[in-house]
Order: sequence, then C-alpha cells, then structure tokens
Amino acid sequence: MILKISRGTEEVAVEITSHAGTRKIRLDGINTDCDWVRIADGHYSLILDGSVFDALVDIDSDTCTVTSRAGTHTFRITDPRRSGSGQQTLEGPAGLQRVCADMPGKVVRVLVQEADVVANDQSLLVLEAMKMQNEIRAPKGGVVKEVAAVAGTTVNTGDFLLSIES
Amino acid sequence: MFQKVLIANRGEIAVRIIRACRDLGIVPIAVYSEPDRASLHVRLADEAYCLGPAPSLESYLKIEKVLEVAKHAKADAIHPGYGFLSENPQFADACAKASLMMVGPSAESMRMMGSKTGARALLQKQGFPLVPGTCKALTSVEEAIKEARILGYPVMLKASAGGGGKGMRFVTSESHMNADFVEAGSEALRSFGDSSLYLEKYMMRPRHIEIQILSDRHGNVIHLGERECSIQRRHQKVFEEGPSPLMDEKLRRRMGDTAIRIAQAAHYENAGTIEFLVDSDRNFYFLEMNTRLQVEHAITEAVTGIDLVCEQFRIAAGERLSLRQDQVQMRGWAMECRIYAEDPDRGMFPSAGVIRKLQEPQGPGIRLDSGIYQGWQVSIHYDPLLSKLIAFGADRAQTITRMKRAIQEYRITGIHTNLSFFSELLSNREFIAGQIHTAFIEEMQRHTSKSGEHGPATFHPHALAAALAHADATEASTEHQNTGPESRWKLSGRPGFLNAPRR
Repeated sequence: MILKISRGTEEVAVEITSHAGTRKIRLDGINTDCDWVRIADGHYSLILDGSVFDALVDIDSDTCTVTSRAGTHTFRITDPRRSGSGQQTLEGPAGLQRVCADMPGKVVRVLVQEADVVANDQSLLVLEAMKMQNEIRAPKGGVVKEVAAVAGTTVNTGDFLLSIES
Repeated sequence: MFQKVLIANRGEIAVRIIRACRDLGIVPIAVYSEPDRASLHVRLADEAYCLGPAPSLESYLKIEKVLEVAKHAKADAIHPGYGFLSENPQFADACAKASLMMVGPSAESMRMMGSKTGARALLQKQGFPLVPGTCKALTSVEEAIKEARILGYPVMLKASAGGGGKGMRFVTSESHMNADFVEAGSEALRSFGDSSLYLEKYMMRPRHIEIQILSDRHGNVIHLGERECSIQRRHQKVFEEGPSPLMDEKLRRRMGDTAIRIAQAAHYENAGTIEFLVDSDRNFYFLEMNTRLQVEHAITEAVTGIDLVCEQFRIAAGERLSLRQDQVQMRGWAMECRIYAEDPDRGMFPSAGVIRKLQEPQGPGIRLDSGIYQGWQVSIHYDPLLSKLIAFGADRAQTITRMKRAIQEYRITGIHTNLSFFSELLSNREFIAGQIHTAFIEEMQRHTSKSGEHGPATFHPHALAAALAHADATEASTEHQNTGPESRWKLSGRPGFLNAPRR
C-alpha cells in the first residue's frame, strides 16, 4: 500500500510492501534502510541511518499523532485506496468558519452576538473546564453568523459554538 | 499509631498518602466522586467509598459525608492532603467533635493563619517583617485609593480569604483601581464566599521562598530549610527547587528562626509552610502561612531525607519529633516539575481526554508522584495536575541534567501536557544561572521565539511510524472482517460447553 503522510506543506509517500512476513518500505519511491520493531499496539522502535526513534502512535481516523524523544508531530494520512479524491469538508461553505468546542466544559459567558463584527483573535466566549476559565478567541476576523452557545450550558468536544463569516 | 486512615482527597496526593500509610502499617481508605471510580488512588487503597457526584461541593468538599464514611469504615484519623478540606477550620472542628484525628493543625491555628489580614495583623503586632500594606480588610474603594497613595503604585489587591491567585489584581495606577477593586472582590466572593480585600505594595521581581516547619504537641518546632518557588504562572507555582540558589547559611538561619517563631505565635501543630518574598537586597517579608502539606513537599524530602507525610502521622498520633534542629541537614539539590494536562502551544489551555499511552521516566535521581495510568480518563471536573516529577542530585547542575533526561523519557499521549515547557525552562540561560524571580515565565516567553518546523531528520521517521501504525491497523481490521464477528473457536466451542451440564 502507498500512504501519503503530510504535515502542513510537507508530504512524503510511504510505500509498504509485504513479502513472506517481512515488510519493505519505500519513501518517495526510494528504498529505505529502516529497521523497525513493533513493541506494542501503536508503539514502534525505528532505526534510521543509525538514529533511534522510539515512537508512540495514536491514530484518530485520518489524523495521526506521533510522539518520540524528538517531540510530537501530528500528521494527516491519506490512503488513496480508500478515500476518493482528497475532499475536505472541515471548512464548511466558502468563507464560513465554524468554531467548535475543543473540550468538554461549561459556557460561562458569550461575549458576541449575531451580526457582530469581530477581529482576529478577539474573545468570543468564556468556557470553564477544570476550574479554569478560558477565552475562546476568533480564528479570523469577520462577522458573527450564528451563535449556538448559550451561557450556563455544558458542551462536549466538537460541539458547534458559533460561526464567523469573512 | 493509627490503625485505619481515611484519605479525603484524590489524584497524586491521595496516592502519596496511601504510600505513607503502607510504610507505617496503616490501612488506607479512599473516597471518590462518581467520575473518579476508576482513579489510581481508588485502585491502590484497601477500602473505598463513593462520596457523591462530580462537583466537589457534592463530594470531596462535603464534610458530613466524609465524616459519615470515616465512621462507617471505623477510621481513626483523616488525612486531608492539600486543597479541598485541608485548610477548612469547620472541617477541623467537625473532626474534633466526631473524635476523629485530623492530620494537621487545630481549627484555631487554621483560623488564625487562614485569614490573610488576620495573620498580617497578628504578626505585625509581634514585630515580624511583612510585605508593606494594609492589615485590615478594605471597607471601600475610596479607602483602597487612599491606602494605595501611601504605599505608591503599583500595588496588589488581594483577597483576605485568598490563595492560589484568586481574587488577586495587579494595579498599576489609580485610574484602574475602581475596576480592579470590583473585579477582584467579585472573584474573591465566587472563590471563597468572602469578597473582602486588602492591599500590598507590589515588589519588583521578588523571589518567592518558603520555609518548611514541623511542630509537635510537646512544644518542639524545627525547620527543614527552604524551597524556592519563584517560577510561577498566574500566581500559581509550576516548578520548585531546593535549596534556593540565593540562599546562604546565614540567611537560612534567619529565615528559619523567623518561621519557627511564626509557627509558635500561631500555636501551630503538624507540618506547615511559611511563605516569604525576598527582595534583591535579601530582605525577606512574611507573605502567608500554608496550614497543610504542600504540593512541593517532595523537594524537602529529597534534600533532608525526612518523610514528611510519615512525620505528619507521627505528630498527629502524639509522638515527639524524631529529630532535633541540629540533626537536620540539607544535602544536594532537588527540583519538581508539576505536570499539568494543558497545551503550551495554546496558552496553557486545559486538555482533558483519555491517556492513550504512558511511558514513565526512571533511573538515578528520579522520583515520580503520579495519579494517572494508561487508559485513564483525565476529568474536566478537577485540577489538571497529573503528576509531579522530582529530580535530585549532588548539586544544581546535576539535578538539571537529570530532570532534562527524565522529561525526555516521560511520554504521555492522548492529551496535551506542559512537558515541553519544562525542557524549554531547563535550557534557559538565566534559569541555569539561577537568576529567577516571580515574573520569570512571562519574561522568558516574551523572549523566546517559536522554533518553527522540524527538519526532515525527524519528519521522515515520524511519518514512517505513522504509516506503519496505519498499515497494522488496516491489516488488523481486514483480518477481523475475514474471521467475521464471531471467531471459529467460539462457534465450535460453545455448543459443547452449553450441552455439557445436560448430559
């Protein structure tokens, strides 16, 4: 199988072929001398050009977080066999940005109303979680289109809070 | 010594106290809120009882329920840990009434030191050095303005009942006083049920240094040296070390003696901490007293060799201190990193979720006091402290090296943590030189630019690991489809098993 692994503007094609229980790996079409051992589910020890990487991998549908001594990296995995063309529906209609809850919590205050003009990074609402009040800020400037968040209610991860149109 | 002790807390500190119980042959009893059923402290205890639903007010802070459980489980003492009921004089009173020993000071001492203004008034009268400011609660914003003019701006507004940075405002000029007074007052009311405030002169880049004391029922008080707690964010400690890079024997003796006399003035019993601010001329001023075990107690344990929690139990059981002042020796250096579930890339936003993978550091000079395990759900309901990583060595330089190594080994996935913040801190030139103060983190973060993208040297191996994991997951799911929802072993094995009893 060939997988496209990307992070931001960087991308690499990883080709994995199995022959009688051993795997061959090609990076961008080039054979790679990578020695790897599976330690446990989602835990690999890699040696690449003599450098050791003890990597912990968590997969969440098509995003993947890899942690090693060199830090934490989040990747997008595209498996051309499975997905069609790389459509992305995260953005919603053109120019409309949906702001969703990153974690469960309680909406303490909603600081904007529909039709308000907001600047990039402006505070939109206050979410309380783990005894801490956190400001949710505008990911971009624009006009508040829809406000779903209500003060005093609790929200879960991924819940729609409000949208901004620019 | 006690037979059975109820631990009225959760997380890493409950685990720490359970370990002390084991060392002393005491049966540890855990309590928990509904979402904490699967917590580590419950798993490690001998007995455990549910207190109620998630909100602390209906569980960990519910005095009657805690006492009812203690009675039912036939506990003879309660250890409150830190936070929750640990500094609540009503709880201390209720324990005394129920003939349960609370491991800590008397309700009277708590009251005396718990009110910041009360403590300031008491100590000022006896001639102790205080941070300049008012010793009575302010009655109006006009009074605040008048007092601030005498002190000179900037000033700090603080909650009389306060602690933990709540109800605290840094006021730069008179024009801000009105708004800050109202805000701080309402925050104090929300946090402590008491809106009263007092004023302190704001000291420029002070150090926050605290002295650990132990005091028994027989009038013996000793101090166990200092901890430097200047590395703070939003007035909350995130990193501590001991000894302080600033300290010399003479200053330690003076501060230690002062701390002992303050403990005596408060008729204090058990373990306690006196916090001081120290200015650039090494003058020190009383800030407040913490009438409980501190989060950062392990630093003192590492450099003195004294088990503070075991000492607490011995003192509460009426025993004498096991050593005299001249037997207390500080050896080497220790540091503690508070590992929080928060995201350093997003302004330390709290991060709840399931801990998917966990690899804990080990090796020379490392101690980990942790309340988590792989697969555990970090709850949104409580403080985001996951664990405390403690390193110790012969001197400060060796301790920094060991701490950096441990942070590199420590892996927590599934949630964000502040681990990367500590590698940045421990590599900071001024930190290494020991030039730290309470505004250090803010200044450090202003000066460090984000070290952008990692090169292909780490991109490729990480991408490879991602691909391998994806391939394995895909293979596993196709194998699963081939076998179908029920394995053949189950299908052929089951009829025989079901038929067996009928024959």
